[in-house]
Amino acid sequence: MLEARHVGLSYGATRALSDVSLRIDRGGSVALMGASGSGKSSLLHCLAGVVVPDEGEVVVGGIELTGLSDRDRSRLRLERMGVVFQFGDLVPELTLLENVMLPLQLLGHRSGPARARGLDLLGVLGIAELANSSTGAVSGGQAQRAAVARAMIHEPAMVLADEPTGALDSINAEAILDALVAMTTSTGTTLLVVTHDNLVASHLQTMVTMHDGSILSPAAGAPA
Amino acid sequence: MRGAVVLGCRLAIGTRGQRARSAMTVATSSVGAVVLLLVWGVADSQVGTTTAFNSTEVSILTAGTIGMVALPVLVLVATIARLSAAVRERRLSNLRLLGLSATQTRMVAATEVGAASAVGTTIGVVATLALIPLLARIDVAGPDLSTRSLLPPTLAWVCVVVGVPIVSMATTATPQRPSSPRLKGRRGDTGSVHPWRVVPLVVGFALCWSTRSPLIDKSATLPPLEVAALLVGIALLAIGIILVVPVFVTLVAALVLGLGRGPLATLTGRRLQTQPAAATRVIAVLMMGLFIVVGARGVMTAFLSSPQYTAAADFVERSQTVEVTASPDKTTSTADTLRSLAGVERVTTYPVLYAESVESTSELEDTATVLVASCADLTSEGTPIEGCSDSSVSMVGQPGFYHPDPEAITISAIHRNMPLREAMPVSMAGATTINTAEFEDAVGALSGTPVVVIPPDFPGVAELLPRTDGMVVAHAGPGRFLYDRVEDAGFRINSYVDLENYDFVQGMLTLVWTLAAVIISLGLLSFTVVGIDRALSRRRELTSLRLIGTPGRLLRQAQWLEAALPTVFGSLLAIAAGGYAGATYLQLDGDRTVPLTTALALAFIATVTSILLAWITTIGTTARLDPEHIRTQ
Amino acid sequence: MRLAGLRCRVPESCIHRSSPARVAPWVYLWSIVLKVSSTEAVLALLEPEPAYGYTLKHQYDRWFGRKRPLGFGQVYSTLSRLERKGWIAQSQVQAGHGPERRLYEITADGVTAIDGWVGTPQAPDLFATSSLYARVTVALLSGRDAGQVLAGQRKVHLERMRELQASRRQAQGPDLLAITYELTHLDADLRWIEESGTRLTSMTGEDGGAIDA
Repeated sequence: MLEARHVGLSYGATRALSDVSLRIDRGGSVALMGASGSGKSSLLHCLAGVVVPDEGEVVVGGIELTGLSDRDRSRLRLERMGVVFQFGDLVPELTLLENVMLPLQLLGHRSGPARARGLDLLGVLGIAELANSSTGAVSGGQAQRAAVARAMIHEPAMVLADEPTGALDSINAEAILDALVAMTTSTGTTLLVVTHDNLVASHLQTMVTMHDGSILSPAAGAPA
Repeated sequence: MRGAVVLGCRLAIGTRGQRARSAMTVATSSVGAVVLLLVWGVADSQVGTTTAFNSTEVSILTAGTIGMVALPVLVLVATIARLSAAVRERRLSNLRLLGLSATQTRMVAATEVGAASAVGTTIGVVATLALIPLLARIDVAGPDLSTRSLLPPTLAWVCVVVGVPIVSMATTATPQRPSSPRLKGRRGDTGSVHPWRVVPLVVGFALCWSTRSPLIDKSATLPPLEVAALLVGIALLAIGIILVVPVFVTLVAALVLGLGRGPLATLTGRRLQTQPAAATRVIAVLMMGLFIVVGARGVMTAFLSSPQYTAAADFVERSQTVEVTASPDKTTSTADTLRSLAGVERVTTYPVLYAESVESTSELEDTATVLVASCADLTSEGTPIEGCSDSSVSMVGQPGFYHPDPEAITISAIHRNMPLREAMPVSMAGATTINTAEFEDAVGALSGTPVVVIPPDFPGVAELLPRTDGMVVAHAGPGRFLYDRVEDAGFRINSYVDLENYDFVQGMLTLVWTLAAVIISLGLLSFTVVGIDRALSRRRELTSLRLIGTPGRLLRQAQWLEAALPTVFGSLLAIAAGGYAGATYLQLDGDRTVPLTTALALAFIATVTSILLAWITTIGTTARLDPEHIRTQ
Repeated sequence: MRLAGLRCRVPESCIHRSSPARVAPWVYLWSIVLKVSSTEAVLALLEPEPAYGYTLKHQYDRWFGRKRPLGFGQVYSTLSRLERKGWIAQSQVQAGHGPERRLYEITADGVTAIDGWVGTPQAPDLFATSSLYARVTVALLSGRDAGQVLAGQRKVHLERMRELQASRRQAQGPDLLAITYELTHLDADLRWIEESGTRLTSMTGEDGGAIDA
């Protein structure tokens, strides 16, 4: 489903990834762990098609990303992946609902159904009443929930998250991870979460540890 | 204190972002300094040396001109200095935490910007000194652009060298609104747009409208109250169009959100809705420039269509004509002498007679000059002009004499402007009419006076000819030399065109167009810079949007629309208001209309340029997704 | 300060090392651990070098017996138990006055037993913290692979945490509190485990083997 084959990546003089191979099957739930500087975020960027690795290939759902143009990778990401990052970074001028609807609208759906689905998701995440609030008026936890909704509204095949709860307190973090896990397991969506936090990792089924740009264990995404 | 200054200087070149901002401050300060100095120099020399107005009016005019340019320049400098103010505020509050006092932190901020601004101003001063000799070489027919005339007075140097850095420093030293403690500084709530913003525009419009009452007696001057109302109205219009920007941005936003479908409309509409006042900063200078240009052009029309000016313009730009009277025996020799003068292309001679209306009923003397000429003598570009006749009398213009046209006149020979005794009656029945313009074209003299044309073969004319004076007209190409040469040859010229007025108006035109170019360039520059800065400060959410797969093209379009929409509307509003102001002024002076072509051309150019610039501001901002932007969280 | 008996995994190499008085302080560290049974304690005391029962009792008291000194009887019964298991052997018998002075030394099996004890992750419950800490420290100071200890424990901890997460989602009230309490502590353990991993790297960097205290 999601595969990296002998991926290598350097940022200038720094070697971020060295000969990294990883395979995540459909429906898998993986925590990608490691200290900062271990290369886990870089691996995520490669898997998401944000960055083209210097060596090796990345294959997503049978499609090889490394040969595609930036525009095509972008399109693929829009169609097949949901992304949640640490600070969410919703568009401040839009309401929560409008932010959540964006992926569907970008894919060409009509705003009526998109709106309905967005409200649904916000309800599942417990913030339906904030649908028309602006981003600046809600708390970090609420904004991050909206970010999760945004990542899932278009029913992607996989969700990639990079420290999604890093800026939150433990109660909020727990709630968001619960929601993320529940939603992805019910739809069979692959979930990959980059984190350095063991509590976060304990929400996921398997664990891959990285150190200094390579995978320590295990090599192929088997249960840790 | 010294520590604060040193820190400020250090901060100005610390990181790449700071260096970029400092570079922009240097650039705008130097550009601003050059502009101010040059405009001051030009204004001082063109306006200051005219005798058309008295000295107080001159100083007001000069000050007004300089002010009109200084304002946008200083607004531009201030806008640049205030860029990325949120970042600077955060850094400064960190300094406060370290223990610096409020005054010290303000000093640091002021130094950071002031140093860059001072460097920029110095560069500008040097650049001006280098530019002036270069500009002096440009040969423009009309105003004198010598080095001496371009050199600004000492006051200008002092004001600019001191003023520009001070303005930059002042904008940073003034305490800002405390920025939101959250990282997402921009709150999503719509900016409050009060209805009162519309008031100045409405009041200004009303005042201008009130002075538009038709003048019954055109020769009377406006009562001072009306003049004051007009001036206040125009000023309010100018302020009003800028104040009203947030209102129409909000309206545009509502329109976009209401009519639009899809993420592009949502994104653009919401962005416009959230910060309607931000658009003001971007396009204020541009709008001011357009308003001034269109309004001034309207005012200039009054000058440009005055008969003195058109005559002088015709003289200088198309064909010089000089009219000399010669006694009957000296006509030929006069003509020969004139023909021998350098530059004279042809010389025409016409005998002239004196005509008087038989029915002199009014108090005005109904007199006219009679030109004795056949159709062959009255040719324009080789063909006889329309209405000429070889057998009957012709009148030039309609009406020719003062109203009413007489049915009969008496003609007599004229010598040294004195009509001789014997007068011969001539019936005006069946008189043809000659077009005034064509007549002036063919003859090159006698404009502004009633003229009757009688062919030489007309019965009775031949007897008068030997005793009557002749009019000798010398024609030369465009230029200004003919008066001097004819006078040097010993002749007395009958009438002069008002070259003084011509020079003044030309100077004014140059000034207005220079101002136009300057202000509009400044406006566009300000627009571009603010646009880029805004795009840069949005980097994080743009990165986030790219991460979820939003195509870069859509983000660029949203950015472009957000900049272009207010600009287009603002430009159109400014041009319309300026046109209205200029038209109102013209309407007082007579029933003239503003030349629409200039206004429309300007509207088109402004729209296209702002669209282009809006597009340029998007180029560097949504480029490839850079992982570094994601990492710095 | 180098400690005596640091590289003494195999008893033979330890025999002619420093005097018993300067017994490895790593053993001391067990003293702050309450739940180490006397069997393991005595066995571990014998690892660096053979010792007499009498010496053992004193050492034990000194390092472990602050609250509960070990009686001689208990020492000898422990020694018999260990001998029966084959983990220690008598090397010398010195006849003399008083109780027999028997020199006990650890056998290869005994070393293996310590290996097993140190290397086997204990069931992760709240009371395992003490053993984890002790095991890691022992591994560190005795030259065993502490990294392995940590990795092993981490895997087991995580498994437990996953179980807890699953049950937490259905739990309510006091159950919920108990579960989250355990989760938090397990998380704290894991954090320590990871830190220690990093510290280990810097500690073993120069020697590539055992540790300098």
